[in-house]
Amino acid sequence: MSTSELRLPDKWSLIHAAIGGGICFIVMFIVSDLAQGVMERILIYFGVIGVIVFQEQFALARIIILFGAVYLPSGFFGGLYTGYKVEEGLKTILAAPGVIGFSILTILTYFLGQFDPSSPDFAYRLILPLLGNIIGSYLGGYAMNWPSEEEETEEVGKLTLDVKK
Amino acid sequence: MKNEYLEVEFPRYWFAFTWKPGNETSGRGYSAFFAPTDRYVVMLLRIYDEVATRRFIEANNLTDAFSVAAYEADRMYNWSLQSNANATFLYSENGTVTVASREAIYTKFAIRDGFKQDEAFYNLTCIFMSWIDKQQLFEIAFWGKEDDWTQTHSVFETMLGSIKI
Repeated sequence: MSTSELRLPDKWSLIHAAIGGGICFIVMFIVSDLAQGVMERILIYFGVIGVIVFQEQFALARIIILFGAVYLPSGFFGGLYTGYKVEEGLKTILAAPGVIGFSILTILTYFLGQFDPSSPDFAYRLILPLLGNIIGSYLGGYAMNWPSEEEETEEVGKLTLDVKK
Repeated sequence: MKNEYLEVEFPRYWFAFTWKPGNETSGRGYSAFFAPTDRYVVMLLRIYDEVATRRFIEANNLTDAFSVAAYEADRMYNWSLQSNANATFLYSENGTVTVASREAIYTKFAIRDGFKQDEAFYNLTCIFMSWIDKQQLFEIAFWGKEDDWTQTHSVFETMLGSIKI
């Protein structure tokens, strides 16, 4: 872990992280309904729409599918932008797009009256999207900065060989 | 589908969901909705607890299971009048049927031009069943577009035969 990555982010890094959060939210907002519609069409196509009667189990299955189909990719896109614009302090700054995207969606959900803490799957609906956004964001951010990370590793390897000689 | 309220077999390609209306003061109920995705026909099951049964019967000046079925038929006809003021109620038959080892009262009727779809009117066919057991009211409704109703009637009968309460 390099000390440069633990530095507090500067103003522009925070602005790019916020834009990344906005991208994360927009992707999530667009893809969320689409993914649920596609999921429903698939169930109808395979003649198994009846499974939705098992509401608790289906809610959990749905949120896991959305984790992979919506929350990870949306975090990934937010992270891609942030990783492209910001090169330093990635370990700290890359959490921001996921958290910001998730927060905007949660606030919007609250004002739309769809925020139901009494729902049996509420914990899943809170934790999995947040986790998906943050993990996706790191994946996107480091995907953008992969070559520089690789170079650093190679340099460390060379240094070790020199010491042995 | 099997839970604390009932057990019923239904085709897995039918859309299905359940909900529990009511609260401690108004009494609790349990409702299950079943419908195929490619036809306009609906099966509805409703179970009221003692409090909800009493309130429902008192609020609508009902006396027994037959009056409940007649009330639901009237409600259905009034609903179809909203889409077509010229809809005609066509009485078919009343009788008894055994459901889950209990004797239920049923009323079967049709509503000519009672359903509007794509600017065209279609006939509705409906059957309402009800019985009261241990001060609990049970209702089953099966209604839909005449052709769809006729084509799915055998599925309804199979479902009816599989109900265990």
